[in-house]
Amino acid sequence: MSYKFPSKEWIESYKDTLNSEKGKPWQEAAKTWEGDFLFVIEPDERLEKGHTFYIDLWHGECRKVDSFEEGEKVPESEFEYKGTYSNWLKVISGELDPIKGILTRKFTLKGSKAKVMRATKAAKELVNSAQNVDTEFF
Amino acid sequence: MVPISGYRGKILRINLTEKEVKTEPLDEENARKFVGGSGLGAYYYYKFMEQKVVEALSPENILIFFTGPLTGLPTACSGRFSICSRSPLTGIWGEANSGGKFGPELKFAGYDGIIVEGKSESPVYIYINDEKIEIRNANDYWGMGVFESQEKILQSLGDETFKIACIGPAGENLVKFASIMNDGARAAGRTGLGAVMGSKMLKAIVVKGSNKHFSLPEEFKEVSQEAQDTIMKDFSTELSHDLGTAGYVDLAVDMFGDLPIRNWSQGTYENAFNISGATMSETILVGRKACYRCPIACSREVEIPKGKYKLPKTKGPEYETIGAFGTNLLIDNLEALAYANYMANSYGIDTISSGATIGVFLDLVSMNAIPKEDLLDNLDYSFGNPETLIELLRIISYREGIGNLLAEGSKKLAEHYDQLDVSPQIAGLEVPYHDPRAFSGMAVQYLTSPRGACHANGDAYLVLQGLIFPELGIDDIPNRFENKGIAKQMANIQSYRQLYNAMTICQFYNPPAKLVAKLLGIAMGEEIVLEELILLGERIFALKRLINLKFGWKTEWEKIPQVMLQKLEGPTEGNIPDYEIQLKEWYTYRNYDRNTGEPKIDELKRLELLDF
Repeated sequence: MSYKFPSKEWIESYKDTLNSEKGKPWQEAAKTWEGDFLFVIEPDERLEKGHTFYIDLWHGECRKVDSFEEGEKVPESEFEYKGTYSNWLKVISGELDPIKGILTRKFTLKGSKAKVMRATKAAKELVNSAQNVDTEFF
Repeated sequence: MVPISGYRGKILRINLTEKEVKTEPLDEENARKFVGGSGLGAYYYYKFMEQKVVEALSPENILIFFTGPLTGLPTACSGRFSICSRSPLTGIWGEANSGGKFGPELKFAGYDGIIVEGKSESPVYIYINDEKIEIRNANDYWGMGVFESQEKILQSLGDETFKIACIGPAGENLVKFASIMNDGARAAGRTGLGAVMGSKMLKAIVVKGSNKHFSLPEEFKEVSQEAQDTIMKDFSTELSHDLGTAGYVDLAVDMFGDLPIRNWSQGTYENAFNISGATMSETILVGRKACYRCPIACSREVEIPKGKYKLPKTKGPEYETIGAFGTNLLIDNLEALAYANYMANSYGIDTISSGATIGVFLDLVSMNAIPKEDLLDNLDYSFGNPETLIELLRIISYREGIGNLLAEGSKKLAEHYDQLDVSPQIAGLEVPYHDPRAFSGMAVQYLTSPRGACHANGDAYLVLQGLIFPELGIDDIPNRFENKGIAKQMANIQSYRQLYNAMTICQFYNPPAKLVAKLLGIAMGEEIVLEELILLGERIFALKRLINLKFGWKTEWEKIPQVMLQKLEGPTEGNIPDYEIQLKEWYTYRNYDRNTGEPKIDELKRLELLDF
């Protein structure tokens, strides 16, 4: 079954993937990680309204996810990774490396650089895991 | 004549043999062609070579200090200057540049550059205080370390606002990779120009200037602000500010395999975490320091209050030093690395070349390639021992025992034991800590760089991570292991960095190129259009190639040493760069002759270099 990106169903499926056998590489790389993210998807010519995912990651487990439409109040989080819908598609499809996305100014990252630098493997596997979600794009 | 706005229009020519100081007008026509910094330095050196080609440590050789039109101007990251000469390490073109405040101060004193000629019979230093210029006795300071020298000289002047560039014992002892240190621990480290300074018995140059005014239109301020605003939003700027250049260590090791490990022969190193910029920020970091007008402040201030590696507040190790002394030698003790960095700075020795040379040495010992009688009895020659590193740095700097051979650099060392392939060097210069197996395009950068293997003459590793300038033809290369079809990007980033080293501004400062063109145009007193940025860099690059050909540089030297061509496990994914393909395409793109290395006649004509 495929899920529209972005949607509540998609992020729930992503959570299941991370916590499943398919998520093992991420679980291994993120076994010391403690911190939650906001994934902010900005609208562009392919997406009319923005969307935000909340994702709580703890010691190789995805503990909680949530999904917010544009205008809804989002929770506080330790990190925020933000980019346009088109660039999110590139990241999810593996066409764009998440770190390269930041360096090329396609994405912005807020939060402790020290913590993120120590978790580059986990970040990469986190994004790689998204490729295991059967995704339907707008 | 009214000076062009960013230039002072004067240079100093100081002959140490004759004890003579002359002021001469800047060659403005050629300043427009070669800009400043190592570009204009190359022009002045080329003119010198038209009369004679001399050995690097000959009294007849000249040592050039040059600012660029942006040095000292009220714009971000304008604190850099270049030092140029023939390299005693490589025998070819030598240049190094440094930040801090020395370069701007030279401008404030009224000079674009200094050309030092001849050799003093006894140690001296050069005193510059606006128009008052003297060659002074430096007997009392000869033999002192860099920090002590700077402190004592400034104390003797009774004015600590002077800026200073000096050498340490390594330069005095003609260690072939001795650096010139300024403003504390800022280093013009590469190619051994500290030995050229030492060969002239020149301990230091002190400078103080009173004129900070430049005739600049209001637009300069506006464009500077726009450029700075752009860059301050950048992730790499934030990373450099928060964690210093060593902030890249984790990424380099875990994501890319960019940081060489155990003399370039190991693919992964879990302990890199212990010595990264992130760890530094949580342990020994006590502050940050910025060069002149730098909003990034990548320099670290560290302090170790007690213990074996006790240190006063001093400059912390940068990425390259973490690579040289850390991953390369398998040392994962950050305090020990900070201490070794401090000692290397005090001796005045390049950390990149010294770390590489020590790595080769330990590798040769591990291969039983060095007879026991050549070794000191009391040292552990296995990788991973900080005490060995610290002692080897000392004996290199004072040329004691086997240190005398190591002081010649890794190429001579490996050749001496008939193991040249163990040395990570190209054209005699030790390769900095960016692995072409992680970013294939670094191969052609290293092979064709004007000063031997160098990351500051073409930082392709950043281009391949996404630092692109499409408006300059430096556009995205999606695959970091690509060898084919990358010549345009590789040549253009080389040319752009030639210009950076000529302007001279810091390579960590990368606003949109159109803003750089505007700032440079104002500083040079003429409009610079975007396309000219690369053209200026191409001209400077070609001039340095002509200089190297006169020095005897050969295309046969364009080979990656075997030690760097081993397949590794880990993030490099077994990649080996195909540098023959890269070179072939690069020569075609550059319009240079593949066999002789010379720019073709029509290229020289295009670059207005037919007279050279």
